[in-house]
Amino acid sequence: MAEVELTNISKIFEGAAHPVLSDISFTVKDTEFVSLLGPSGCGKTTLLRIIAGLEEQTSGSLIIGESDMSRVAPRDRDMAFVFQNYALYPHFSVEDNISLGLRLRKIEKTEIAARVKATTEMLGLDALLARKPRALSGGQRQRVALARALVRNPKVFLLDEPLSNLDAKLRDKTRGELRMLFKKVKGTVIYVTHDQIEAMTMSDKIVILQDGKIQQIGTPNEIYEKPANIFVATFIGTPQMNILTKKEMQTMGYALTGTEPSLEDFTCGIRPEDLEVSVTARQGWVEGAVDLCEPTGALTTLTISVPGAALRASTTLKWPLDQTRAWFTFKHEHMHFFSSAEGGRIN
Amino acid sequence: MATTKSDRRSTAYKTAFYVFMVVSVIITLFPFVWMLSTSFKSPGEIFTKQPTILPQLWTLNGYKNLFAAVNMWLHLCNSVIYAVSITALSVLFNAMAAYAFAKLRFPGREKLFALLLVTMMVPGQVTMLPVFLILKSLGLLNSYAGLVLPGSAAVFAIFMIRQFMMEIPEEILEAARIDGFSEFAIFWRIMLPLCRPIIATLTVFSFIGAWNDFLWPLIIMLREDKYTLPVALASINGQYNTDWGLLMAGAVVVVLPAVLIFLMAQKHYIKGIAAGAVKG
Repeated sequence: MAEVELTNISKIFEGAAHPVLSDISFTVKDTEFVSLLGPSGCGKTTLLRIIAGLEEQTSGSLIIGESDMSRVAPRDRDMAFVFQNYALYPHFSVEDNISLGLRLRKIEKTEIAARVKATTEMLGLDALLARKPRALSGGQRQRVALARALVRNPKVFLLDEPLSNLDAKLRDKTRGELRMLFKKVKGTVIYVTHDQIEAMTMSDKIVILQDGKIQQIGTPNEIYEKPANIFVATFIGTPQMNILTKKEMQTMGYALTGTEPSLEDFTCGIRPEDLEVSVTARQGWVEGAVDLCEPTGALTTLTISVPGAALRASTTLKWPLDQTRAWFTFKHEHMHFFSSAEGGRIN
Repeated sequence: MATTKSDRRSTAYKTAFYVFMVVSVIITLFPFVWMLSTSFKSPGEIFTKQPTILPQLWTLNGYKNLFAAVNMWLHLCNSVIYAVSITALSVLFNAMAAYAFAKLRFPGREKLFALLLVTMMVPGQVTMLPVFLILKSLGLLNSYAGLVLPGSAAVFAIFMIRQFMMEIPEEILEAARIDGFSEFAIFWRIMLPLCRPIIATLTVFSFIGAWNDFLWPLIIMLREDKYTLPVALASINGQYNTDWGLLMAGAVVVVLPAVLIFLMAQKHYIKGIAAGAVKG
């Protein structure tokens, strides 16, 4: 296991006008589980491929453990990669798929057998060793791909959206299993995903990317509670955070309390669960029309329209379906303020 | 059970289909059957007024005369050397070139490949003489090397294998690179096995092509002991008369290995053609 350090990694594809990645720097500590999260096209997979050595960075350096791996061939980096489509060798049996990496590294036969046995037992693949990949279900293939990575006992595990080809139910189950598995083997993991639930539930640390730039690095809670800018604020959390300009707040009739930044213009973000709602009028609360009421059991999501804006609120109240008016206010301590010009966080 | 109109129609369609297929099979097989039966007939029976499909009197004289007239084992040996070596070399070289064009990144790859395709427009007859002169100045006339080398890479085959290889997901190769395969091991242990259908197809093409080839061995191999089977067979075709029984026996000997190879590779062969059709 080892620490991974990226310094000013940039990548421009030949003939492209804009860089896919610019100035990416962060550190993955030993045994840490780090997610690269961002919308599609943000460069997260390219970054993972650069770490693996499958793409070459235009500039910047990559240090794994003590050694500079910036220009080292993939097979000498001692990393394992789990591909989105698993990329199993179709003409080899499950056992060969798992053990080939070890055999090519000239490891002793008895040790290979022991490691393959331990890994396949851990993943419940021991009954499938003789099969070819095409005779496996999607979930089984995914586990073979994982086994191929685990059995190598590499310095770093790189996973590229490994759950995206599974159905929703299996994905939920596998998410937890993966987390426990990597805890157990004390793996250093870099995990690419576009799914915020995966990133939030599995990671020690999340790196949020957009347009090839890092938007924020932090623990799941830090990112949720203190988003660094409007992009992160709206990207993380479902339903999405409400974003209101100072003007919109005034138009809807919200009385500023004086705790807001004393700026000409700012943008306020407030998460749906940080709106307090009421079915009756209250002193100082804003009145709005309930356009939509979506009960989901524990929580009910309301879409409330007010002059100049529409907001979403999540509440534990059992909202009466025929109630068309709502009164609401914001929990002050949970309001996020951003600069309207740059989008960066102010408070 | 009552038959409906559509049932009757499908029965009629099936009948017509089978009649058509049976007629096609007869038309295709008849020359082969005729060749086979003639090779077992006596010279008298070959020219009877009422032709017989099966010999009335079976005789092996055609074969005996064939083996007496020419050194069949020698020419068979020449043919095997020619066909096997050209097949082995061309499949290897074509697959290696195709791998480079399909999966390796190097500057000018597409241009080089286009140039290669352009050479397909030059007919073989045009290059035959210059190639002959080159081989002559290299002192390779009358040698197996001279016979085999010019045909040991074929643009069309490179094209076919490249198209097939392009369908193999890049991630499999990348997984192999991370797993520790060398570039040659990726080609040998991953790409080649995955290309089995197209390789089988081209093996059959190449083997049958070389086995039946007449013109090139004729002009390269000037000495009789270097003749391949088709050339040797043509040489016993006398100036004034033709011994048809002997000639047909010769034709059977020539055709047999080609048919056997085809039957053996048939399963992969058809897969390869179909795959090529969709992916090419």
